Formats: sequence, structure tokens, C-alpha cells
Amino acid sequence: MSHNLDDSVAVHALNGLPEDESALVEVAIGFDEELKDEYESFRRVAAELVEAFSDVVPAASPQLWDRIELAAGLESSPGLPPADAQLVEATSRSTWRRLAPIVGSIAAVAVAVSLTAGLLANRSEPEGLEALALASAELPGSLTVDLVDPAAGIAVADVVVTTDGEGFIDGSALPTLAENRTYQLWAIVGDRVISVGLMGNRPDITAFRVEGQLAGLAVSEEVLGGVVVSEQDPVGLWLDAA
Amino acid sequence: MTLTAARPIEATSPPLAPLATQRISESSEDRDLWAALLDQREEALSEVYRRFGQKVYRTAFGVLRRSELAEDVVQEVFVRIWQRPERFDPSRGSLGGFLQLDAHGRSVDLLRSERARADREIREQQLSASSSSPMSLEEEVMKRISSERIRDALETLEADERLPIALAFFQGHSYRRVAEALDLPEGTVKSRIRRGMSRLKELLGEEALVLA
Repeated sequence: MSHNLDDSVAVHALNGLPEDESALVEVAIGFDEELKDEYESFRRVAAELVEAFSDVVPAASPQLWDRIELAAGLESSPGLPPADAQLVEATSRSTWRRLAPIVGSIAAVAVAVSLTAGLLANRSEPEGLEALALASAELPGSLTVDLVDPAAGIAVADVVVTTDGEGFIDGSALPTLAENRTYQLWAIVGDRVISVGLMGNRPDITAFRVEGQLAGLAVSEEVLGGVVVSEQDPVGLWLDAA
Repeated sequence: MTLTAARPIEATSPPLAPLATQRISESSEDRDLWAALLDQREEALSEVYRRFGQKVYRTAFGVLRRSELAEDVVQEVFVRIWQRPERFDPSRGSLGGFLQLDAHGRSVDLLRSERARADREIREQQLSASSSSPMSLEEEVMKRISSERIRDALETLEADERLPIALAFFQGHSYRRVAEALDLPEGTVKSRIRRGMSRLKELLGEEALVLA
């Protein structure tokens, strides 16, 4: 490592050093209090950045805590459901259960959907998630559908889901919400409605993951941070007519 | 499934018990949780996960963009804090921040590993494509930042400081890869990252950062 050590400390705080260099910087930090203080102060900046960069994600698997318990060698604690599990599944009492009758009206607007599908796919240079989404759409067996506003009968988002459950939703046609609101994406798998991600108040392309036989997708408008059970009517909906 | 908040773990300690044996609940502070982790009390790890699990997962997913890989990282992060709680120093920052940065570091490691290479191909194409239009990538990163305060601070930086930080931290690339993508000397990228980080430290305020 021939560069300035102070510079390396800043890069290390961002986890931006390759492994060989980070090991050397760790040693240097261990011997130099001033350098360590500098590193810690940059690390606090990084902690702020990482906290800010966590707005749009799918939900973690409800089995994740079980895996951690097993790997850590803990005894099982069934009476303590982890927060992540709470965030994943909605109950069958959800308002989404009332959506089945909408299937008919969805079919009625299918023609309008097909006409507007191309508009939502209007893109310039593929970048970032958009590139991933476009690449996913090209994979054999990928499902490409549009979510329709049940009230207005117009397409408001398009979605691609690969055969291994990786999905992307383009919600850029949805109107911007207030800062304290967010769009939330739900998947209907069997008779369950599962939250699969928050899309933010100005949605663009959001990645998500869904496991199991997908029977539908819906987007609702919720409070910032999302909800575990939606009480809102969907602003975008797709139901598998099959 | 009933969706209620996790109930506090029942107290088994006397009222004036030492810190490490105090009751762990939703109101426990970082220092209490840490002390209980040092004491290897399993309910402490449950509470830490309940409190920070989703944030840690979000961090990992933000880098990896793959659920299964992100979950691997979350598992590793929580097993590590259980096995080596002394790695966290409550006087130097928050437990949540520590865990999220640990997740970021492990995610970056994983992203760079052989295992993730296949999954990364599209991302590499993305970086190559963005090298001809770096501003577009920067805009994409900025859109993914939910905090106005952080976005404002980043926007205050010079563009040549902001872009290397975005690529290194938010895209998970090593500074060498950033230098390659931006066609800059490696030392230049490092010094720009440091300059940008120093500026962010000023903008965000040391006191606020310690309390975060």
C-alpha cells in the first residue's frame, strides 16, 4: 500500500478497501490512537449513510431468525417472534381478502392494460435496477404483468418476476406521495397476502422477492415505514385469472 | 399469524441486579443489550434481532440486491455479535449503526467473492455502462437515499468527491474498481473519498453523529 494512510483510513471506513489493504489498515489503527479516532469518526459518518440508504427492500424470510438461532447455538424461543417475521405476513383478515370480486373488473380493463403496457416500458439507457429488470424480463419463463388502478382502470405499474422469484416493479407512473407516505407492494401467494417491499413516496424501480405460486400483486398507499396489515384499497392490482 | 409487537422477556433478576442481569425489554438501551450479550443471555440476541434485524437486512440487500445473499449476511452479522460482543463499543456509537456497518462490510465482501461473481455480472455491466455517464448512476444512488438530511449533505459535496463515495459505499465497489471505472489514478480516488468524508463529517456534525 503506497498511498497516504489517512486516505486509506477514510476508504476503509466505507468498506472500500480490498481485503489485503484493509488488514494492513486495521493493524495501523490498532497502534495509533489518533488514526483510530479518525477512523471512528469516519465510521460514524458511514453509519449515517448506511441508515439513509435503506428505503426500498423486500421483506426478509420469516425463517431467518430460526437460522440465526441454529447457527448461534441458541435454544429455540418460540414465544418471541422476531420483528422481521412480523413484517412479512399479513393476516387473512386483510382487506386484500375482499379483492377476489375485482377479478371480473380486472378482466374488463385488460384491453386498456395491453394498450398502455408499452408506455410504461419506455426507457432510455438501461442502468441500475432498470438494467436488472430488463435483463430479468428476457429470462425464459419470466412473468411480465401490469398493475391496474381498479378505480380508474389504467395501468399504473409494470412488473417482471423471474421463475426463481426475483421481481422488479416499475412504479414510476404512480403519483408522488407526501414525504410521510409510501407505496407498499404486496404479493398474494395462495390464500396469504404478503408484504414484499416498500416502494417509497416517489417510486421508480423496486426489487423484491416472492416465493411460492404467485396469484396476484397489489400496491397500496400507506404511512411511511409500511404496515403489516393494509386497510387501504389497492391503487394498483394484478390478479392471476387462472 | 397474529401481528403484534414482541412481548418483553420476563424478568428473572432482582430489582437492583447488576447491569448484565437486568431485565431485557423493548425499552432496554444499547448498553444494557450489549452487557447482556457479553453475559451470553439469549434473550438479548432475540431483542437485538427484533430491534435491528430489518435494518440490517435492508443494509445487506441494499448492497447485494439478492434476498438469499442478504439473509446469509444477516445471519452472519447476528452470529458474530453473539459470539464476539466485545467488538462493539457503546461509547463509540449506536448498536444499530454498528450492526448495519458490519452488514455493509460483510455484504461488500460477499459481493466481491467468487460466490457472488456470477450474480454480479449484470452489476459489472451496469458499472461499465455508467462509466460513460457517471452522473446518471449518481442520480440513481441519490434517489435511493431516504433521508433528506443525508441527501442534502451529499449534494453539498463536489461532484468529484460524491461519485467515488457513491460507487464505493452504495455500490459496494473497492476503490480500485472505482478508479478503473472513472479512469482515475487510485490515489486520486482515495484522496477524494477522504476529502468527501471529511466534508460530510463537518456537514453532519460530530455531536449528532456520536448520538446517532
